[in-house]
Amino acid sequence: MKLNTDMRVNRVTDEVWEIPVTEKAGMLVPARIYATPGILQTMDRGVFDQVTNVACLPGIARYALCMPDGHWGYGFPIGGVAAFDTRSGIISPGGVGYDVNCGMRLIRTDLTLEEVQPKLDRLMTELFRRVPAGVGAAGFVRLNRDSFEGVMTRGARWCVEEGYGWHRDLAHIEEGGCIAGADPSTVSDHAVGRGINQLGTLGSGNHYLEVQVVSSDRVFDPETATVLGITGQDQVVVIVHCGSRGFGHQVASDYLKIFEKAMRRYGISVKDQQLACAPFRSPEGQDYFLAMNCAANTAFANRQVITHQIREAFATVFGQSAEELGMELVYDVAHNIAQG
Amino acid sequence: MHSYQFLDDIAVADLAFKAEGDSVEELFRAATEALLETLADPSTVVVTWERRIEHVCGALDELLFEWLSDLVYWKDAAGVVFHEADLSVVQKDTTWTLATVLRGAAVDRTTQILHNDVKGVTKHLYEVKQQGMRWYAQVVVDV
Repeated sequence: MKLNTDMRVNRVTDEVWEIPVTEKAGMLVPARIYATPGILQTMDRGVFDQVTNVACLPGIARYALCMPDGHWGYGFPIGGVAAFDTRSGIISPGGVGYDVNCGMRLIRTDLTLEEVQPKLDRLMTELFRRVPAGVGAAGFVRLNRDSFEGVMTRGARWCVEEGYGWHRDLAHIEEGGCIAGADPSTVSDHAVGRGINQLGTLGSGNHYLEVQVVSSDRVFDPETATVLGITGQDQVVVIVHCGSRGFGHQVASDYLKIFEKAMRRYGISVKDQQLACAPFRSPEGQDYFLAMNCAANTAFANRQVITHQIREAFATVFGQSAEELGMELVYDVAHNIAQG
Repeated sequence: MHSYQFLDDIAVADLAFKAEGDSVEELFRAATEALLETLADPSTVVVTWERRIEHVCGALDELLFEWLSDLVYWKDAAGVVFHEADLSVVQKDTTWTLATVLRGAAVDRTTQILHNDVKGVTKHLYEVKQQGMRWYAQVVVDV
């Protein structure tokens, strides 16, 4: 099998592949990649280089992991996962990802393709109007420093309290949409300055809001799908992919700079400067963790406000309330996060 | 003389560019123009906003990184895109000083051609180097 690496990659099963610690100086644990042979062959060189760099980080437990969506990232590969001993291990903004709590959110509806198709142009216009995207997009929620601290500490809960969503939404969000232990005093004014006007905005790059249609032949577990509210052929659903916007990125950038200096003090060296890190128990590591939680809550809030706007758009176009249209939240899950 | 080009095969989901110039100052001009163009077409931005920015730094690569990060910060914090940046880069002993006047305008979708909403400048494959008489930088930005 031809792979984009010179390293030895051993088959564990047809879906699990292991790079032994002998393949790179400094590896503390093996690296494991979850992929079919076909997916493994398409993975770029960065996956193999970066997942083995992660395997060199202090305190890593058992394996440096890469999921099937693996491709070249910043420090960690995209799709990278690692666990660290909280006593001897590190925390790294590169491991969390620059866009803290970038994640996916799925909203169901009772509408079908047949009902939506004739109004699709109007629906798209309404969604574009209510969910700003791209350069310089500012959200409709006006915040001051105090209310932004509410967003940082209470996440999606803050939004529901302010009327942007339903209380039952929270049960469908990871951590109930609010991660405890967020401390705004660990966040720079620079980060606040970038984030305070961006609540309810989608961003750019690979972030998106899509109106999608269910295809019954792509439902692999109908029983579970029904429980989640995915009930049939041509059902219309909405999916949102975005995160903490410039705010989370500034938190990551601020602490990368702090960690670059701290590493010298703690005697840590890394294979890639984007893996800059600090001991989890150190003052710098704890401050980052508390600031990262602020960014994570802000991302939950961002997706919650966007959900509110999506519901408003559908209600306007279809002349029924979002509740009458069955616009329940199915799930909200983060893919850029560290959990203690 | 300075120039820049966008690189298609470096960043899978993001954007990268290579900048070069006959001097450090020209290199900074090239990298600045590349980032301005990444955000919006500068020729469509009619100046109504201006800010003076100065940085002092011991390392040239850090100075460029800080400056490009500043552009991203002001884009979000002031809600602006940019027309131009007058800049000078001066070395004295072991430090470099960057003095700039950054000019732009509030984002206006009706009059400006907007491009990408950059979230940050990264250190992924980032480098600033001198080869012969010419200076080069490679920059990957997260969008």
